[in-house]
Formats: sequence, structure tokens, C-alpha cells
Amino acid sequence: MPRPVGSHERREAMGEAPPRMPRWVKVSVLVVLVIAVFLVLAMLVVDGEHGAGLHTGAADPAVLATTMAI
Amino acid sequence: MRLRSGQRKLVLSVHLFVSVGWIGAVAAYLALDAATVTSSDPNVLRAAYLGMDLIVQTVIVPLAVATLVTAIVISLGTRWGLFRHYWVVISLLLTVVATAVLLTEIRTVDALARIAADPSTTPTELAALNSTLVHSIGGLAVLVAVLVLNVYKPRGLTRHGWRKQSRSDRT
Repeated sequence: MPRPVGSHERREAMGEAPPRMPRWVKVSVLVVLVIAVFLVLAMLVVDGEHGAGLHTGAADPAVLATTMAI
Repeated sequence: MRLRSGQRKLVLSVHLFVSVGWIGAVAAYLALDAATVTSSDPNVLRAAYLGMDLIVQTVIVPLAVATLVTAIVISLGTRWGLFRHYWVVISLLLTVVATAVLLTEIRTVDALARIAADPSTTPTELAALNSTLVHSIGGLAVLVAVLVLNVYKPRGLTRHGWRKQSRSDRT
């Protein structure tokens, strides 16, 4: 059975209403959000540092010296 | 302002050159970045950090800025516009984010290179230096995503694009 056409869809088809956001955009935004949340959680779980401690802190010579001293 | 055919082809050629070059340069950077994670040889580590800094400063940053500028010029100078199609908006957003992350990363890469270049840095200290691998992989993934979007150009007008099109249809 065909899906009933809503008023927005009808107006959209007639060129009277702006088109809705395409599905590929919604899916992409959702995927990016999921990845972002996953990365934030991973950072918090690993060591609470941005970038999972992979590129901060020790780049600073002072921090490196402290780390080495410890 | 619309670009003439010759101008459009020239800007497009430059855009293709710098954007694909950006991807290639990030791939080269990624190889060195991976070496800093996988190798424990002090000579390899020193060379990798210095090479990463050189590639970022002299190749990646200029190509990234050039990509952003030429992308904006092409968008504004052709029928695609800057905010009319979702694929253009998303490509622009991703390029801006990639460039911003790159610009904030310069200091880190430079600091790593300075430590690696310092003769007093011991092999143990070299091996303890951090890597930028997560950003390299993420950056490359973003650039490939933009490339795919630009090749496929998926359909979808924004509200702004629809309004512009409706207005031009009426006139």
C-alpha cells in the first residue's frame, strides 16, 4: 500500500516548500557524532588527556624533562 | 561573481593540484609518524621527527591554506555556490576543521623536532616522545571523505540554495 503523502511532501514536490535534509546528510552527521562521542570517551578512559596522551605534554621540553626525572 | 570558463579551469587545476597534493603530503607524514611509533632506533626517530616538522612547515600547511582558498574561489565563482548544496557545505566544514587542527598541531610537531634535534636528548628520551599518529590518521580520513564528496557530489539543496534557485527560476 503506498505511503500517504504528507502536506510538506506535497508542497515540496510542487516546489513551494524547501526540501528536507537528505538522508545521506543525516546518516553522515550521526556517524560523525558517534565517532566523536567514542573518541571523547576513549580519551577519558585512557588517561583523561586530550588525544589519549599521544601528542600533548611531552612535546614541551619542560614536561619531558620532568617526566624523565621521575 | 561567476568565473569565466578559462578562469574556472585554471582555478580548478590549481585546486586539484593542491588538494590532492595535501593528501599525498599527509600520507608521507603518516609514514614518518608511524615510524616514530614502531621504531626504537634513535637515528630513525630523530630523522622521522625532523622530517615530520619539515613536511608540515613547508608542504602540508601551504597546501592546506591553498586548498581552502581555491575551494572558496571555485564555490563562489561557479553555480555550486558556498552554501547552496549540502556536499559543498560539508566539504568546506571538513576542510576548515582539518586546517584548524593542522594549525594547532604545528607547535607540537615543532617542539618534538626541536627535542629530537637536540644532541643532548638521549635514546631513551627519544623513544619516550609522543606521536601525532591519531591526528595523522584522522586527518587523512577527513581529507579522503572530502575527496569522495567532491567526486560523487550527492544531491541535496540547502534552504539557502532552494531559495536562490526558486528566485532564479521565477526571474
